[in-house]
Amino acid sequence: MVRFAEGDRGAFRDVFDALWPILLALATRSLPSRADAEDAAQCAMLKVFDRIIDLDRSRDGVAWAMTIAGFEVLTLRRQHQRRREDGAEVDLVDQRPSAIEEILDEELRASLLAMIAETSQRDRAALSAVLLGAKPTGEAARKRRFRAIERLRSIWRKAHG
Amino acid sequence: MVDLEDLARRAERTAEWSRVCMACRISVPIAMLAGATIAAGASITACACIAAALFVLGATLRWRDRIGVECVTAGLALGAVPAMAALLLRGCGIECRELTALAGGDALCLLAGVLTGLGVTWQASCATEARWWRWIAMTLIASVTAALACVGLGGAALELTLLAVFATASLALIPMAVRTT
Repeated sequence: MVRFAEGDRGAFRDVFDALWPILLALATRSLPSRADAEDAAQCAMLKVFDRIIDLDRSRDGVAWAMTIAGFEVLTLRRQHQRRREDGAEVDLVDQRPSAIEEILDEELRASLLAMIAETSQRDRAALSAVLLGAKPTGEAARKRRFRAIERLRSIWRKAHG
Repeated sequence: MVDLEDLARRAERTAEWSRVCMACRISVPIAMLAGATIAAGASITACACIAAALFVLGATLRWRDRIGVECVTAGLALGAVPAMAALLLRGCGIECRELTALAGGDALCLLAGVLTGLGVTWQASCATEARWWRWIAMTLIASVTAALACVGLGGAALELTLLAVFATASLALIPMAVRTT
């Protein structure tokens, strides 16, 4: 490592081959998943080679590289933890509707169904198709649906203003 | 599964790019010195040419290896001695365009050059490895640094300073060579 840091480009392969198993083993011991360990080890390798020109000759190069790998492992762990916390927040936001909302929905639904029952047979069939989400088969069906919705709207206005 | 060949290529590229960035950081002191020389009234074209040459030389040496980094740092520091002298003279409004008689300005340039030459050889002799390579690299960097500042004073100051640097560094080499052998 010292040779490579001092400018001997020929030492690159030796440094790479010696460091990879050490950093991968460290990451594998510290992280539960193999994929995460490989990611952390790769990031650590790139950071080691990015900063290798700053390597202090008087210190142990492998210990220095392992420190960088340790920081990478910690960063990855923190990212996972943050992702889990974000997921918990989403769960809190996506709660089921409250009991009052459910009652209001039920009332609206019942009122709507009562009004549909007041319409003619043909309009009821057209509105049922709309509620079920079926697509109109032709221009005539589309117009029938439109007229049925307009009649239902006028009935709703009469009842609720 | 990690593609180790791809990772090795990326790591090598990262290391090389990091070396290039570190080497190019030499542009900051060079730009500052060139700016000071231009502000003191030197020709912009001449300053730009010498600054560019100094940057190329310094960046190449720094990119090459750690010895190059050390040589460029020491060379710039030693070259700053005649550079400061030149800027001081220029600040006092003194110019040395012709080498007719050794006036006060010329003498100061000569003295600064001698000090730089001695410093270069002293630094090289103190090193434990690659003494000759260090001597050559430091002499070149110190000379070009001195030339960058002296160009504003005039041709005579430039010649005198460079001559003093090379002559003193070469003469001081003799005891260093004796000590080495």
